[in-house]
Amino acid sequence: MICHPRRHLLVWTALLMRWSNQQKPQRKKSPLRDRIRRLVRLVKWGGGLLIVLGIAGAWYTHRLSRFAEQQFSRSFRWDIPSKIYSDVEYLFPGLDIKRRRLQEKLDRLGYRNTGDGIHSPGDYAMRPNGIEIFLHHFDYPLQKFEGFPVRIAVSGSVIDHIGRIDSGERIATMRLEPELIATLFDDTMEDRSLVTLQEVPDACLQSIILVEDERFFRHHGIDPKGIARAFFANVRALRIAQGGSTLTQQLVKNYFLDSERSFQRKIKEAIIALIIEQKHSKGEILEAYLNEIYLGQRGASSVFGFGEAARLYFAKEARQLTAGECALLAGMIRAPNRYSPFRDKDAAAQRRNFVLNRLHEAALVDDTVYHSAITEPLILPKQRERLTNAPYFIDFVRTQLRELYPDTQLSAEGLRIFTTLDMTNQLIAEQAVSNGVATLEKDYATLLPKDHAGKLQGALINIQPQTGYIRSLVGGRGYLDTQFNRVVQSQRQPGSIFKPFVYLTAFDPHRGEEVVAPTSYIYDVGFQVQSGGKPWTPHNYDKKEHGPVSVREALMKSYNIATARLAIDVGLNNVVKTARDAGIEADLQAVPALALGAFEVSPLEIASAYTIFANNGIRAEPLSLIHVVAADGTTLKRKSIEMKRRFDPGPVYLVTQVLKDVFNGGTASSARQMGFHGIAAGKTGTTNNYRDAWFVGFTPDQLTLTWVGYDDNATMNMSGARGALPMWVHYMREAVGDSQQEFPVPNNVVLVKIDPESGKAWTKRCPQSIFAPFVEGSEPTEHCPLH
Amino acid sequence: MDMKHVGISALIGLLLFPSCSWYERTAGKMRKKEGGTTYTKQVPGEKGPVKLEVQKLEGTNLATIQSPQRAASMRVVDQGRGELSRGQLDAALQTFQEAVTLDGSNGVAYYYLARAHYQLGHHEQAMGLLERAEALLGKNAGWELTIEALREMIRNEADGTNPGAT
Repeated sequence: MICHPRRHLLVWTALLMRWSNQQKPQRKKSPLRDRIRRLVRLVKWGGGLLIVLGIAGAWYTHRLSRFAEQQFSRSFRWDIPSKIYSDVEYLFPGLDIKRRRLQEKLDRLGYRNTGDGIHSPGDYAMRPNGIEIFLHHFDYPLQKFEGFPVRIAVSGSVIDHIGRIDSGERIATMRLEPELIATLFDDTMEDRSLVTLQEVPDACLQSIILVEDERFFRHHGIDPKGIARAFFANVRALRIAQGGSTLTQQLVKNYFLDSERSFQRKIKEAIIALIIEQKHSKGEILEAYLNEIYLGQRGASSVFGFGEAARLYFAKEARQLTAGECALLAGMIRAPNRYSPFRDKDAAAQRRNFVLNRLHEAALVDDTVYHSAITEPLILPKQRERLTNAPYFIDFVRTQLRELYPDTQLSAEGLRIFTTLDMTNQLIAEQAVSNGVATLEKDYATLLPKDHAGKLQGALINIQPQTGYIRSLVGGRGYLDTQFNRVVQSQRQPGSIFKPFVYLTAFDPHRGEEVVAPTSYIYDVGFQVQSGGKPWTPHNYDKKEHGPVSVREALMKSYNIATARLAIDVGLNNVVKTARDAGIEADLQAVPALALGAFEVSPLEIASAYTIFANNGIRAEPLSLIHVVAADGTTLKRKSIEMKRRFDPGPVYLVTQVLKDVFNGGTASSARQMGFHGIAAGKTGTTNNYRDAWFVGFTPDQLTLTWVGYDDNATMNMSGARGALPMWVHYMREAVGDSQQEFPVPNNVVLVKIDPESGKAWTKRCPQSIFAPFVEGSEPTEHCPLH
Repeated sequence: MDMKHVGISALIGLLLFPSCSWYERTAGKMRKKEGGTTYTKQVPGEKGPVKLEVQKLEGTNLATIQSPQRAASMRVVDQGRGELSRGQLDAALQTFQEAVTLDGSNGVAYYYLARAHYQLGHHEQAMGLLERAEALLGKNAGWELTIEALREMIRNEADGTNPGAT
């Protein structure tokens, strides 16, 4: 039968009114009879009113019951924000932990520096000759990892060996879990990690019940005894010293209702609490409470539930909480911010001890546990200074995520996204850019335009060329000022950093119309050609012409005239093809100005193209996202390293060898004075009217590009060597050091004895000789004509 | 000039003999020089054949270098090989990828990464990674054959002539 309470109410009311209006037969009047008559009338009216109220109440209760069930039966579908993680970090014998800033990393990962021994996951302690770490448990995309204690023995700052403390077993390599670098919230900014009852220690459950609702298992949603007790306690204290709400009522207040304080809301809360208790078990209610209760702030986001609170305050999973930690969290429920150990450690300790005393008095913890917990020092993880690290990188990742998933899914379904970011190097990169640009503004203030509206900007990207992994990405000097990501979004002229692609075309016998070698000679002498119907004349930056120069010197010193001439000789269409094969997708026109980088491209694109030089002709596709995992652990998306040979290794090797000379006598020689002494190859870039300063430099396993300029293309009067190189040097010195790794030699490169003056095959008449590299098959075909 | 002077001249000539350009040109022998083996080669030129003195570049054999990164990377490769043998292809692929990031010049890691991709049916990716493995390991005869064998299997599978090869 379908219930229509409203219709029933109307019918009853109508009936009552009819009954009351009916004419009664005249009777003899007597006082007793009148009183009885009045009494009967009263009973009728009262009964009627009760029936009406009863029906109204039933209808209201029914409505609330449906509301509560709807909300509750959405199976506690809280919105769980998605989280973005950095890459893992491997530790192994031979690694320099000072260079890798290991202690700072442990702090960022939320490990607690206990000062002495380590006892539980998340502890670490520095020792005179090493570090002890109790590794966190961590759910990797395809593997659950259970943490264990390790000792890392170091010699100086270099790892000597690693061993498990529990078993004594030596470990060859050890993995530190990825760092949480960003959380993707919805508008509510609620952060939580769901837990089940089984995942929470008994001490936590006992503490909560003891402190918040001692009669939880004895009442049915509301506790009149508790209300009365709280009433008298508050009267005695002349303030609100106790609350009378049960856990169920608190859950209802937080989960179902708004924060309005009114009598009507209190009534609603009580009725819903009764309904919930009727329809759900105590366990279900307690579990919902564990995940709903507010327990503090992490910056602008609110932390709800014991799962996330355990991470915030103790950098642990909830199941790892000690009795003392449970007591503190339970004690904080009443006033999370007042009792926050980050805010007031003493107040937090006192509150914890209060709860522990209650537990001990109730014999819920024995003497040993009690004494251990009450004397346990409050050791907290270092509070994260910034809630979002690597903001430009995160934006870049989010853009890719949005192409795969809607925002509602990202902010609500608790995805875990694993990236390629190396957080240690990212922080170095951010410092390099912000300090670098500020230093330029100070040291070269006279060169920069006066009273320029926008600030001088910088950008940096670091790629591991052998994998394509983007390890650092800084899109500007300050994200708070401008979120425009100059690495990815800006389109700038590359200028001279495009030149290596011209020379690559020239060195490759299968690409250029004319094959040259680094020792060939070319004329750096002014010329004019028609381009786009207009005369075009290249000029060198030093405004000079250098006559016949070796191709090596032309690239090393970045001569515009020689390069433009070479590009025309080898075929501009061939140069375009080379650029395309390297992965440059920009709009390229086969005109002479192409040789000087007169087109627009993003720093990411040009840096990715340069991976072919570091990899001897193999391009690695840039990668920032590796894994996307759903809340239940299933892999939603996986991206892998993609590489493809695009060029013959021989010509690439020749270009790289010349680019090495850029550091040794070329346009980046000043890097040596700045303190960079490693083996690297690179190219400076300066665009027309000094609008852009570029530097791209690489070792076999690191490729870094830096850029400096104004967003509005204003002239800044700085070359690549002056503007961009110092940032590059800062980054490489801190992140990489002086790498001595040589570039691998391909099979098809030989050294041929030549006369250095002519660049041709040496004869006995030549006074000097050198051995110079050539691609096999393009050795000199002429003897030296000069001697 | 008496015989004594002739004798002294001859002695001096003999001492200087190894550095004589004439000797170098006519000896036609392979000689070890710093940086590689030197040999002569003749190439056709516009005005006739051109004789060149050529040295093979002996770079570092990346397959055999010893470094902490290489040692760590190889241990991770071993872990991945275990996963591969147990059929845990996704896990193996992830592990080999980590091995490569640990040491980007470890050709063995690239080879196994290519292998994992091949077993997952990602032929194009496998081929690309094999190119990298070959660039790093190609100087070692054993690996040359191994790489070529895998390449052949990928080609066959891509052509549909060898399905399900492991």
